[in-house]
Amino acid sequence: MTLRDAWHWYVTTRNQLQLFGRLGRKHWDELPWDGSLGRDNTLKGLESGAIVTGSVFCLEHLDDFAVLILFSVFESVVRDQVLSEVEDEMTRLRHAVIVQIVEGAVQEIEHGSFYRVLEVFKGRDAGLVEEVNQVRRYRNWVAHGRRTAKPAAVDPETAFRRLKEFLDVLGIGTEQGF
Amino acid sequence: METLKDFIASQAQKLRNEEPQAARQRDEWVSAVDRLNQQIRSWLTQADPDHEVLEVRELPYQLRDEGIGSYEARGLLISLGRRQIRVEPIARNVAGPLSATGVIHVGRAYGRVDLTDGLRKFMIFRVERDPDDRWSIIEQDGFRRQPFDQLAFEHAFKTLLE
Repeated sequence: MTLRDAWHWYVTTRNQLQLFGRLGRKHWDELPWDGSLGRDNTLKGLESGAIVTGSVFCLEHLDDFAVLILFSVFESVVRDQVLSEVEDEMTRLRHAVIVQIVEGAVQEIEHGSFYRVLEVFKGRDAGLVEEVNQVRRYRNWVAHGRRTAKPAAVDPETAFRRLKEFLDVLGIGTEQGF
Repeated sequence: METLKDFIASQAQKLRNEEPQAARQRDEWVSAVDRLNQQIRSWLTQADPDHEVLEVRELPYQLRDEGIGSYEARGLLISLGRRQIRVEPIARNVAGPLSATGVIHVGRAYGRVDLTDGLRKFMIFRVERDPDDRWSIIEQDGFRRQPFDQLAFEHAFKTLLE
């Protein structure tokens, strides 16, 4: 999945929920229930209030989960990219000690703290790294069940733009996935 | 080596220093939301002077922001028949959105309040606080942020009711 795929999933899901909610709120009771619609066992028992309540419930949580998914995809893409660059460098190393050190670094990139991976890019654009870190902190808050005080709130649009900009700066692009 | 007693004492001092600042930030934000609510009520009164159509109620929201703690802020519930729109305080600390051009960053915002019917949403960001609050509004799937004035509010409100 690429960052753009994740964004597309979010926008599509939101639109579908909004459409179904709108259908329930504005038009459900005026639909031609005398015909085939009225014979559809799945639909005929649905009431407009339940449709709206369901859509609102899903939308209420969608934005937070979208930030979580957007950031997870972003994290995978960045880790993969950094890993591929480091592995490329490794082919030119000869000394056993240096190879061992770099192997340790590879482990860190694959499984270590993503915060430390991002730190490396502070030299290129410290402001942007901090903006991405803000998204990371919000993702962590959502991922851990939103039990603690809320860090700076991040909406999906802001998250996507920041993450996309970071990938652009790295020259990765939003089409690269994992 | 620092003893536990020393550590607790230093933490207590830190808390004493942080608490007034957090309280100031909380009170300042809650007041800003109240002023926004008041402004919205005033625009609604202009649209429905005799309060015959719209019913406006205050709703409490429990918030818990990092660096501020738990607190209550007030929102609004606006009813038009069976339709309901909420003015919902989201957080004092927010990641600022990008500007309308998508090039210039708005580094930060000083709070966010949503205007929503549950299905669609407009986000209202407090983009300045000194000398006065300045708010901007952006539809969730829109790209143009604009000043939150009466015209923008009425457009958003009507959009949610359409």
